[in-house]
Amino acid sequence: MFIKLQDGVKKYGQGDAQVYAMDKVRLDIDKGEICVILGPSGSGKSTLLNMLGGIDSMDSGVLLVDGRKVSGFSLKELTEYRRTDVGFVFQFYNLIQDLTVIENIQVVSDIAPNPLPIDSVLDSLGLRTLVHRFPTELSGGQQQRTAIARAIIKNPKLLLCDELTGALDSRASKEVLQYIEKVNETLGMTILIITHNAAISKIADRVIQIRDGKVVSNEKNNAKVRAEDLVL
Amino acid sequence: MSFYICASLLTAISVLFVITMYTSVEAIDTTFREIMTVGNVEDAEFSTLMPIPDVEQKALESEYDLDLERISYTDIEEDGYNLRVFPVTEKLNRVQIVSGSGITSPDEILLNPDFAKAHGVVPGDTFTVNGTRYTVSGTAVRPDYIYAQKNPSDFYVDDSGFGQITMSKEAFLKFRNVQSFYAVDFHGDNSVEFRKDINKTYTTLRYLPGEANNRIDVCRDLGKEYGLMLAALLPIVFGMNTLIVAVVLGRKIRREQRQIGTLLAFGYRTSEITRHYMWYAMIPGIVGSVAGVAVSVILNKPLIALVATDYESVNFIVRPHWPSLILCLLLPTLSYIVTTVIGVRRLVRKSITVLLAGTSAEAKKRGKILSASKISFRQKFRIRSLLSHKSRTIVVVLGLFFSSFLCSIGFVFADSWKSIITDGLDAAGTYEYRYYMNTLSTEASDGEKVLTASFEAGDENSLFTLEGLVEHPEYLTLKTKSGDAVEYGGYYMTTNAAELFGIKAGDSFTFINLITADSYTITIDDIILDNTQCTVYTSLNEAADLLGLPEGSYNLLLSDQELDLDKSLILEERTKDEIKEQLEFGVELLMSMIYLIIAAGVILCVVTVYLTVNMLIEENRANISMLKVLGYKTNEINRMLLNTNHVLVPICLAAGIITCLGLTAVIFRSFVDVFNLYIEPSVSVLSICIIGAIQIAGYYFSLTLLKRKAHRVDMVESLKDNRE
Repeated sequence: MFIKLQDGVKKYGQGDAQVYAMDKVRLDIDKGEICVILGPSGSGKSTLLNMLGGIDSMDSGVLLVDGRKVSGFSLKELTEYRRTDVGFVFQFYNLIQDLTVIENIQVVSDIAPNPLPIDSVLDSLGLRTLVHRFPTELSGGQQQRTAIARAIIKNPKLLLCDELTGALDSRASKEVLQYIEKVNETLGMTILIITHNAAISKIADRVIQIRDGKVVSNEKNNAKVRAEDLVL
Repeated sequence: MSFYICASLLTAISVLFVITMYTSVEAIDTTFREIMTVGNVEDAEFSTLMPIPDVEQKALESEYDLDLERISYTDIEEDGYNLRVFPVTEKLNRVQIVSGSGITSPDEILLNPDFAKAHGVVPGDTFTVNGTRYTVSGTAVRPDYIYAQKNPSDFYVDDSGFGQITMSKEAFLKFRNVQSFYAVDFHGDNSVEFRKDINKTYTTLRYLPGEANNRIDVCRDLGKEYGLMLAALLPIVFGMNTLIVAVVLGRKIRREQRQIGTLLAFGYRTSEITRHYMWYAMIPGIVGSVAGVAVSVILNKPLIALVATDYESVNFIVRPHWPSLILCLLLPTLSYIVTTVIGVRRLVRKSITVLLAGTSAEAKKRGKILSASKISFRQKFRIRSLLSHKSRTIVVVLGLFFSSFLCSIGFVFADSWKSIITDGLDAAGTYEYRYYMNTLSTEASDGEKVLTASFEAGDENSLFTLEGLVEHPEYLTLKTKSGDAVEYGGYYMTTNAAELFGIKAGDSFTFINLITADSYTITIDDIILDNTQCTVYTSLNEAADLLGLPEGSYNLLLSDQELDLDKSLILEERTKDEIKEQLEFGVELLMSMIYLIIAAGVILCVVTVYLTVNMLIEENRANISMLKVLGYKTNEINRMLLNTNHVLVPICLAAGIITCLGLTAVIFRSFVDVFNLYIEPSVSVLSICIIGAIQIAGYYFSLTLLKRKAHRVDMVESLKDNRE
């Protein structure tokens, strides 16, 4: 298993106000899979993503990623983990507004030990003509493609996408999902997409359903479709 | 919280600065005027060849409506200090008691306060004068010795080295080597007629008007001179601090746009929202103003003592300076409120959806700065951060500029003064000894002959010296401003005097003989490069002719070696080393003020940088957390974000130093009358390096305080803001 999470627990608050954002979560994900984590708002999807990405730490449980015990990492090791092994794509892109498309990508390529060739990333995501534009000059879809380029330029083992189509219309969403598929096929990256939109789960190799901090199902998707065929 | 602390601190510092400076100057001016009025300070003093009998003194008082009193004194050289002993006077220059009580018996004396303090003498102690023990009944200040120079031509006041003693007339009688002069206080405008009459009847030897007597003139004009400086400097400092806080406050309000949009969506009225956000302004405004006023009350007396450090320590009459007090209590809060109201009103005019989306107008207006350039994205980020966020950059620029300016003032003052010591003294001449004779002579003598006399000129009746020189002076090398050679018999004015009287080569110059009150007009042929002497040079014979004296008359001898002269013929002996020592002592006295000003500059630098970089971090929370998510280490994030303002440091440093040099040139011009020197502003390379080091240290100290703040930005919390 590429990702193995055993009894992951994350609590917030104390006493009667205590809430379990993750309640003994267990999951296994294979290398190279596109995995969709499905759940309503407040189900703990983002918390799970934060743990997998090394942004936050669990209160208890064991997380293994590519054989390494991420849950036992120090802060310094977590920084290195995010620097080299993990790429993030967020719902609202989180691009640096004072930098152009290419500069936002360079923010990551500059510190990555083995970055992908920037030209090929730009071409594969259709960003060549947009390189000198600032985020405010781009559409939502273009910004999200920039965010994807920034995330994959370091050639991470794991790409985490938090509601990556949440701010996009259906056409742009489909376009972005097609790029995600392409990235998975060409680079063999393991991709996790968290969403509340069940329609997106059809492109996944594995669908994990989460509710109230618990995993309610973890199934392989035997009826996988191409992103271009999705109805959103 | 840090915004409120910094804004309140900046407000408090500027309020404190304004109130204490105005209160101090007002207290010093009021107190000195009171001492001079109550003590009936002289308008002039003079000495005559023949004494004026008491009966005739009364007649002169009646005829010219004035007060006239013969004042005697004697100078005593003790081990380590000099004393000038006066008997109690009745009409003029009456001492004012500062502590203890007046003299009631011949065994009692009064000491001037600073000398008493320097020697640890308090009322009730005994003190020996010329081998006789007296009881110190109290300390007192003479109205003509508030600025207690031993000689009016001295450059500084030596508290421990020169003391003034007042004793009963009876006790004074035992002194033999006594000098005396007449002090006069005019009630009308008839000093010229009086002078002519005195000279005609009694032959005036020396006449010194109060305007030309530094001991008196400096104290009389102190309020005016300091007031002019404060009027120029304080509004800038006060305005600067207020502007910095107002700009930071404005940006803080802009960051509240989502909250304001939410309140509007809930149906809050503009006035209700404005009233709520006014607290952002009122807290630092009120807290800072009140704190500044409160601390100023505590610090008033010590600060007055510091400002008046060169003057006698008297019981200063401290009254609130109401204009500055009211201004300081109201202006900061009002300006912050206005900024807030403008900021809120600007935001509520936008559509609620735009406010809720949190998009920034600045982001939309961002130009394509360096977008196609090949420089690194980090450099581009820094440059864009400076140019796109103009108000934030302006605050940093102003803060760094003023910090540099304040730090520079002290060093420019000290370096300029020191350059007088190293370069100026040589320009005055290569002699080592100046012997002022107490009579005119035409006899042959060792040393180089000079005929010297003092005259007054200009609107302020400032004094200058006319010196008649031999044809080829050995000790004076006169270099003209034009580069032309000096023609013997012409009239040449030093740069010092030219600055004072506003004269250039070719101008005519009118001056008045102090003794005879006769008026003369000459043409100045050229200006001599000399900032230390306030002098007009001509030939020995031309000077004698002007003064109606026999050809070859002289009353001053210059020499590079000590001369063996009859002591009874010498009025005063001065050496170049003494002058140099005085100037060096003057620099030391300056240093305490300099350190205070530098400290203010450093505080301003640290607080401004802290405020603006804090703002930078707040405005970049999302970027900081994103960089952390992307795997950036803390020091990499700090280098990218906190180093944005580095380029401004050397620019503002240079601008601050240059502006300081310009302003001190103006200040030094106003000092010509006081110090009888024209000081050319200068700053050494070493001082520039020290100023730079101080600025950089303050800047980096502030950044160090903020590095931990950037480190503490939570990835999860910041990213939550950008999640649905």
